Amino acid sequence: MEANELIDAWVTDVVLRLPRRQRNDVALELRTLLGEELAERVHGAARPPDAATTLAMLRAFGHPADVAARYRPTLSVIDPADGHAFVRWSIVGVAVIWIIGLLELFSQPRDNSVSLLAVLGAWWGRSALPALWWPGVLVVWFGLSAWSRRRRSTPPAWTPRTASHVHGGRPALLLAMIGIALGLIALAVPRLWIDAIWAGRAPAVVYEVFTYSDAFMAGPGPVLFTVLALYVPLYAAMMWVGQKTPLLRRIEFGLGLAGGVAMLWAVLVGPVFMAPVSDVPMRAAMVLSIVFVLAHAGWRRWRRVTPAPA
Amino acid sequence: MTDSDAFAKLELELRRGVVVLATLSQLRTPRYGYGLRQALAEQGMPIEEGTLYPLLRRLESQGLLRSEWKIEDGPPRRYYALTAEGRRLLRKLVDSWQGMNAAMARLLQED
Repeated sequence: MEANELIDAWVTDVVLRLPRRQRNDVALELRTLLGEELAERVHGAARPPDAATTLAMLRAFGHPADVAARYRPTLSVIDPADGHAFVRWSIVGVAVIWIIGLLELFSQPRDNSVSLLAVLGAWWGRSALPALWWPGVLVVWFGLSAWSRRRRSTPPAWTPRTASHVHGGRPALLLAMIGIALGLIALAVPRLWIDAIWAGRAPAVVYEVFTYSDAFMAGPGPVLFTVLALYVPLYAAMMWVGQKTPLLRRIEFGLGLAGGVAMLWAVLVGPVFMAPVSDVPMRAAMVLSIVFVLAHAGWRRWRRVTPAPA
Repeated sequence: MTDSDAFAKLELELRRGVVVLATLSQLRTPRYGYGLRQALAEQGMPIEEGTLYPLLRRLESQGLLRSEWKIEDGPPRRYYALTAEGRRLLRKLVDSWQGMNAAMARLLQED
């Protein structure tokens, strides 16, 4: 290849990565400059520059993609400050989707004539590859937050988030107390809301669907309702103090743990409701709540920092 | 990372910090890319071609440089020179650099 051909190929590779209106002008300038650089390299030589010398010069100049990038302002879709968080959440999210897909696959009745490889192949097509929607969502999320930060004239000020801070403040606590009280009444005495909805003329099957089993009411039920009820005075105390004191935090943790244990007990001891149509979703919700409580406890532990020499 | 790797990376960071100032300082009079690179190299500040030429375009797009094609004794060349805004910025950068340079001289002074 001739020296000029090499230069033209390199210049073309650079300018094709630039905006169309800039291409020809930059191409002419780069060709001229590279010609002069090359002439300097072979200055004094009896023969014209060969392909090896030209290629060495072009490689020293840089990869066309890198050089083209330098012509334009740096574009970061995700802020460098968010880079690690993006990678971490991408991996965690994809792993969770993959595990759920695997659990779903293996929980279905399996035809023995289908090989394990075929089952995994089905998982790959149904869960593994489609899971990539999650990093896509994160790119959009982090990209939008980076864009909104850049639009601000001053960066957002840091807001302290201490362990005693109550998210949402007193209004959030009040709403939580009302929600828990109403939810507790609805759970403990389903007849109240059934009668309210059907004006006292609900079909018998509705009452049957929301009738607790004896096993549940003999053991875990009252414990679970008591634990839920104790959240009301706890949140009232937090409202009164205006923050989560260490004692209130310990009580909140204890109630969470007690609630988790009561739900586990309820799931293990037998049906919660008499009718399977309401029992299955209720127990599934309890299992999900236990998983959430455990995940939250794990997350808190992972976030805990104990200043100490490494 | 070896000592030479660390040195190369940190020296590159130092150079990156002064590339714009060095370039602007040499464009009080119009120069084209290759001539500018030679002028910088002759004064002990070599800048890679792949860095310098795109930088000129970026500074132009920021309104700090203006440019025009000229044909003199050779191929057509694009000449760059400071705009009024570029001159103002250069003065500020020079003041800032001299302040930093004096501070660094004090910091690095050996007892």
